[in-house]
Amino acid sequence: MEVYKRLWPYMKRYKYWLLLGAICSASQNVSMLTVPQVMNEIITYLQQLYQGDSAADQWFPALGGMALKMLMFVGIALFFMFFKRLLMISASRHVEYDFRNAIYEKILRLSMPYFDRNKTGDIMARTTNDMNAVRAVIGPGIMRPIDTVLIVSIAYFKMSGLNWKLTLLTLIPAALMIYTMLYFRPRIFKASRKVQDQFGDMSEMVRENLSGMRVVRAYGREATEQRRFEAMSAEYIRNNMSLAWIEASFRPALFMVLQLSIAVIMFGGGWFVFKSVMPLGDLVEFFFLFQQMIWPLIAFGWIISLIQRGRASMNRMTELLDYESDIEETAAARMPEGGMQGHIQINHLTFQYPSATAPALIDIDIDLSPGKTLGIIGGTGAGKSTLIQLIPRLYNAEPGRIQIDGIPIEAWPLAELRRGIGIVTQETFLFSDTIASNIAFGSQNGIDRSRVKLCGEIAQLKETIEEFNDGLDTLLGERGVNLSGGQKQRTAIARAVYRDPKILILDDALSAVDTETENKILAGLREVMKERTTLLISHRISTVMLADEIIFLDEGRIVERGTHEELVKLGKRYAELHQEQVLASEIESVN
Amino acid sequence: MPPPGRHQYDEKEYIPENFDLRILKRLSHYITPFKKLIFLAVLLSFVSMLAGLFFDMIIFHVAFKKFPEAKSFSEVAPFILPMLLLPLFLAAIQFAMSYSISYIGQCGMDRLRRDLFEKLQFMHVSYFDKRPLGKILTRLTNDVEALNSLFSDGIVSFITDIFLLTGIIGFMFYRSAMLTWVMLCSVPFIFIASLIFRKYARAAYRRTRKHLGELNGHLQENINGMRIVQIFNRERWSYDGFDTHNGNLRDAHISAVKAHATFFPIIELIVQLTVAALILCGGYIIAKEAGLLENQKALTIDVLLLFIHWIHKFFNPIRDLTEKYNILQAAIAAAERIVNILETKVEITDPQQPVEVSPLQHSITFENVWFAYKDEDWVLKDVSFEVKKGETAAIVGATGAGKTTIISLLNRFYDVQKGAIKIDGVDIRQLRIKDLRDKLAIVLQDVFVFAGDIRENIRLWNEDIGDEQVQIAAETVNAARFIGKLENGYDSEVVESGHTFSMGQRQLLAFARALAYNPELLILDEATSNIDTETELLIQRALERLFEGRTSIIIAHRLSTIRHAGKIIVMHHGRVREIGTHVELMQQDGIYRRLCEIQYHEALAS
Repeated sequence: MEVYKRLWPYMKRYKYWLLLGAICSASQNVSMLTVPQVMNEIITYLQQLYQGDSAADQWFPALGGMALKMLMFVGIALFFMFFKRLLMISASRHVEYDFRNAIYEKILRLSMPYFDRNKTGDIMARTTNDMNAVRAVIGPGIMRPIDTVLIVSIAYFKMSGLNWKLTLLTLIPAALMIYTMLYFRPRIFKASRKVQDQFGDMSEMVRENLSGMRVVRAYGREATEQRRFEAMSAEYIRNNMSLAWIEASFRPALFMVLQLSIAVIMFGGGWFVFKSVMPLGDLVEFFFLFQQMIWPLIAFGWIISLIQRGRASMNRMTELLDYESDIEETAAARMPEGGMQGHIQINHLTFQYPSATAPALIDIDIDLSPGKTLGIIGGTGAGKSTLIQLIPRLYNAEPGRIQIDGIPIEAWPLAELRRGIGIVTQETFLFSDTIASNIAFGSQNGIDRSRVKLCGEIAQLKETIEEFNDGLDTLLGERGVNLSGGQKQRTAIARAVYRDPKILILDDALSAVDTETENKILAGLREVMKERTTLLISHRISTVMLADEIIFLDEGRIVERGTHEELVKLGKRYAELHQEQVLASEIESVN
Repeated sequence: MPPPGRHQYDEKEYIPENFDLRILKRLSHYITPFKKLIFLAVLLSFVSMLAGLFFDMIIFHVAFKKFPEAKSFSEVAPFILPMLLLPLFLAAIQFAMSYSISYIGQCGMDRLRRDLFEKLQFMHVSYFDKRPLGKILTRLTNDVEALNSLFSDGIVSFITDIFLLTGIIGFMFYRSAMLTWVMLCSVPFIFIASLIFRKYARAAYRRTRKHLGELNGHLQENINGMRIVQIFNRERWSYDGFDTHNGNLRDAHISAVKAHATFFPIIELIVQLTVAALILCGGYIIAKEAGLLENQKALTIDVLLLFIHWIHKFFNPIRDLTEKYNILQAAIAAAERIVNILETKVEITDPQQPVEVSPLQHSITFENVWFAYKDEDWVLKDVSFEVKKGETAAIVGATGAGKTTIISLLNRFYDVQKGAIKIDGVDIRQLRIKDLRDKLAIVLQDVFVFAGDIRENIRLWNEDIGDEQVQIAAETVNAARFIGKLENGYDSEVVESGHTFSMGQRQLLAFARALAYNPELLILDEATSNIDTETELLIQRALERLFEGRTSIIIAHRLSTIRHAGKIIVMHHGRVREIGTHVELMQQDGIYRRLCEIQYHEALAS
């Protein structure tokens, strides 16, 4: 029930659809359960005809009238059946749509730590598979129980009117059928769980074998692996056969209970007819009423498991909906007059990821005036990327440690803060859209093509774009062109520049670009970035050597800082790295 | 469900429009060994059909004919026993049938899976380079299951349905040809309605698939790119895109709902019209025969009721034929993919007349070897060198120089395109693959650890290697020390991909593995990743012991490891540029010397 409570806000809009659907369901079932009554009349008449009690030449108008009556009830029932399905199932699809949009809206507001902890596939499963299970609870999960309750109560009402003793007799098989289902369901569930688990183990074994293929071959272990696999497969069969045993018993058992009950009811009914306490027509009606009850009863077990599954899915979705994003705007956040200038100050900043055991950054101090360039150098895991992710508040630093234009970043409106920053991330991410749309990604109001072109030129993309038939309108990604790593990076640079940010951050953004192009891009950027603050992260000295200041990060600390000349003169780690890279480029140039 | 078109390989997974029966025939021999059992199942299915129809007849006969007309109870009494026993009999038969079909299906799947697995064990390595692992895995798991469902849900229930239909028609004709014809008249209508429905349902299904794919694609892209979306303030845009796909999906679903909501009432209407026709027709016969004597009458009321009762039984299989068609289609697609694997020609195989191996006498040589993974992108260009028996050779060079490829070629993971690799003058392509690989033990760069315990990870389930050998190997390479610290020693479980062990420990395990196999030739691809200094020292010493008196080739990343190697081969851009000892090479102002200098600066910088 709590599933429905939780879903109520989304179902509310369609409550009249559902109500109308319920009315249709009632009309359908009342009408459909009247058909056996007409059948009663028909059979009674036919019996008279058979026994020669009615005039044989009058049969057609009499029987034709009854058949029409039957078809009329059937017609009414089918008419309502159509609208019932249309209303109730469509309503569930509409609720699904609203609910899924709500989930996505929530996803868009989640902060990075959530995405670090949950795999993309898991989040996707929430909005698709889990959503589906929940949807089934609103659609069939409402429609079927209503149908069942209506059919069973109307049928019982009518049956008891015909013969209450026989009606009492039907309680036994109904109870037996429910018992049979209750007996088998959990057993089938358990057995199929085991089958699934073994299936998972077997898949895992094959996956392991295939990924470790080279080792298996190098050591000639193919035959042993084959034996291991065969043992797995044999175990899988054993589990499957125990499931088959239960399943092979379930249907016949249910069927047997059903047939035995029919036999008992029909025999009892026949006895009443024999004793002349019940007309034959009534027995026929009774039989057809009972017949209509059977499937809804059997389907009830299915509804229960459907609702159970929906509940489990709902819990997973609730977890997501209730997740509190930790990046929130303070109520007092206000944009300073005159906009962002780009003065970055970081004051004794220490930062640790929520799930980590050691800090990623320790005591970082930076003061970067507007228009200046800072180079950041260091090995993998030194904390370079962490540092720049804190500035646009992808993660929360200790409040007040990072200031822009003298205002703590927490006091900036989030959207304004981010609007002022252009970032090219380490892993370039482009969308499956045109080049132009990708470059103009940061613009909220359409694409300015001349500006796109200009930014493309700065990022040395001009030639690449000209190579494509559709130029700027070339589609990227799965259904379009696959750019090389370097081309992607250059597109991402154009995207960042297009935004006209006050602060530009390049996180190892030129790693896949050759040195010559890198120099051209950097030269182009220097032109545009004259009045903007720039942070350049790299493990290549050549990228940062012209920066106003360079910091060398190691294990979260700044270990060396100064200009390129100063650091080379210092003769420590920066200088060694410089020497190493000069030699490496010498080797590269050997042919 | 993955979004469509993520890999190019996906595109091959179309649903075929035309059945290629050859493919099913190719797979049918997996169940032919069970011919007798299949025959039994079919027989049981036939008997069960007869018994089921017979039961209905008795019930109707007793309730609607015998009882109303009986003069005394004794006329009905003989029917009691069959009425109670038939359901029991039927249940027993159905159980036996369903169980034996499962058995056949499971055994057939098992055989197929074994064959597939075996095929993959010997498939050439390049086959796996081009295909995502997940796809191949699906062949062995889901696709095989799909075939099973074709067998048990498709073919078997098809046969059962055919029996049921012919059984019903047979009984009916026997009782009243005229009423049977009336009923058969409605069959075309049901069939046409189903066909029309299928057309709409399929279109709707395709649309839902398409929009679901788009929705998933959008989700995946935006969740992966969430950083960018948030940094660039494009949440609204992203939401609008999602909303569009979501709305399309909803509309597609609703058109499917409409198709379903229309179809079922229409089918039911046809059924009920048939019922009305049966009643009228029955009335006509009964009226016509009204004056006849009881035993001259062809149609009795219980038979008419039985016909009405059977209508649903008769129409449901016809209606479901279209659903069966879908199962069949999916299964054919799966079958095609499976047969595709089974029929792929293994590119690297044993020679027709293999040369018998003998222990290594002189040397291993690369003679003008050229190799490319693709077309003419040569990774190795004219590579020649010799490693003498008992010698330790080190191959060095910058990343992408082609070092690791050398190992793959020696093992015949790939075959060279030009030139030859020879052991004692015999081309390795003339040896049995197994003989060749038995001579070598390799330690790959990325150490692969299997799920299982430490012992099995060292001997790789090779019963010929005893516990003692495992322990000696572990002790020799210094792995015994950390194994001894584990709670269960050699019986400790290694979990998924060995994440419980550090990189260095995994390296030591791999060394132990190589040593336990006591190979003639040891090949080692040194791991590039960072290892703590303590383990680094352990590895250094382990290596010295490994190389002692053994012909070995090492792909070295840390040059300090190989100072004492008898021969250093310097690779650069796919070519051998320098060969010599450390001292010799340092005297030249070449690549090796620069590599050493870089490492020196690197060491200082960190």
